Amino acid sequence: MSLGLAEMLEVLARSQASEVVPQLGDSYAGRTAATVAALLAMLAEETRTGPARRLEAALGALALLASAEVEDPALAAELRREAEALSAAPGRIALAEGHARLLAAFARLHAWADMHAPALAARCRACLVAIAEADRLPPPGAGPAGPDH
Amino acid sequence: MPDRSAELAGPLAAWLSEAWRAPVEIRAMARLFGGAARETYAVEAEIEGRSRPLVLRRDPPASLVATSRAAEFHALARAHAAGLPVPRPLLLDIAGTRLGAPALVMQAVAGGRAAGLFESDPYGPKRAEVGRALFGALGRLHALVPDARDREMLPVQDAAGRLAWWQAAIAAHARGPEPVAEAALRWLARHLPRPSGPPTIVHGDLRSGNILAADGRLLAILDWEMAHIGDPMEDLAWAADPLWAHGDGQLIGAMLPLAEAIAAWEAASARAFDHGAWAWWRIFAGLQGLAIWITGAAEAASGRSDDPVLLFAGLYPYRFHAAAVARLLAEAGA
Repeated sequence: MSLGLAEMLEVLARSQASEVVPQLGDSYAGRTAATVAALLAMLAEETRTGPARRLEAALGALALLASAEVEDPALAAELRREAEALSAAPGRIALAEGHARLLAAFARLHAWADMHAPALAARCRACLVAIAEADRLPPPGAGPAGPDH
Repeated sequence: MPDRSAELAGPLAAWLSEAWRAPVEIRAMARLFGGAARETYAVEAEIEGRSRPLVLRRDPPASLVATSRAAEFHALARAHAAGLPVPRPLLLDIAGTRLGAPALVMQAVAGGRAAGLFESDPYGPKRAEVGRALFGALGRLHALVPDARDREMLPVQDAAGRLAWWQAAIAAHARGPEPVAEAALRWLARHLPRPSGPPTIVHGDLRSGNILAADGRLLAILDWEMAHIGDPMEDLAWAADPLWAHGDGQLIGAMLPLAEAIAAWEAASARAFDHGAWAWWRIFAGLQGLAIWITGAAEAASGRSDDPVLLFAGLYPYRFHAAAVARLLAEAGA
């Protein structure tokens, strides 16, 4: 049995940090290599914990989609269809494609609520905090100098 | 983006020689890390037997933000002439005929270093001195009255203009649903603030990573590529953004409490901090971050750049700002 993706990324991150970065020193190449090492470590963390982190918040958003009283018939029907489709495979709403579909539907609900339903809008804002917080990654242990731009 | 020092050294020497009417040799040249919006090189040039340390900034094929070297050069020159701690700009090739892309050359600032994003307490026990110097310098920038040349060279953007600018960037680069950015855009459009006073020259990217400091002294404010004429509250909010706080929840940029930063800025600018608009500008700062990271990630995905910093931007700062903006929106309410 081969290593899982997260394990392989962790090994690559360590290898990059210990084998490549020291050879290049404090140069543009060295710091770029260190950024790659940090990215690999973050991708390992994302692979290992991302879906589980996102699942609870995604289920909350799905529940809001399913229960929201939307007075626009066309939008309400569309959101209901999306909620039903996403509910059929709830595990997928924390994975990339399903999560994007959930977020797209949630964004439409939030936009409508901001215009027409203040109480629902407040629930959307709380849900948005949960979604965004669940998506956050911890800072990398040995990160790059920063995303200068 | 590779280090193109070897291919650029010859054309750079030719450019400098022509501009300075004397033979110039490039003794050393190396790309500097960071500055994903521009290629930045440390250059040691020699002219008539004297060493001259320089910094070259050149447009990359893809970037986190689209900016103009002409505007950057003008803002640097204006700030330098006003006595602010900035590198002295020397040469500009806006057509890109010298080095294959628009470029500018400036005098290098000796000493100091910029803080890394994850560096804890980067200014040490003299953090307050750096903070007072920084917010004092920012106040002096904001005390300048934009003249006709400033208005010709720099984008003029009030709060609505800035919002439209980043809204367009997000629309052009978003690769999927952006519920936080969309919610922020709606909130910001509904609550547009009145100007905090007359428009000023705004640095546009003032944060801990864009200053050089050493031993409690502010040596230079760097990276003027996002300078524009607008509301100075923008600079204050961006500088106070938690992404640049180095993990310190109390101090702005790991330097000063907000009240002290405001006091230093007010004393130097002779302007009043706009408490009523602060929430707006903080959310705007987070939205600006989102727009920048969305743009960077899209550029990486496009294949125009292989710079891993662009990937990093889409992974860590993007998610940081999404969460920060969502929290601010929840606090702000309808």
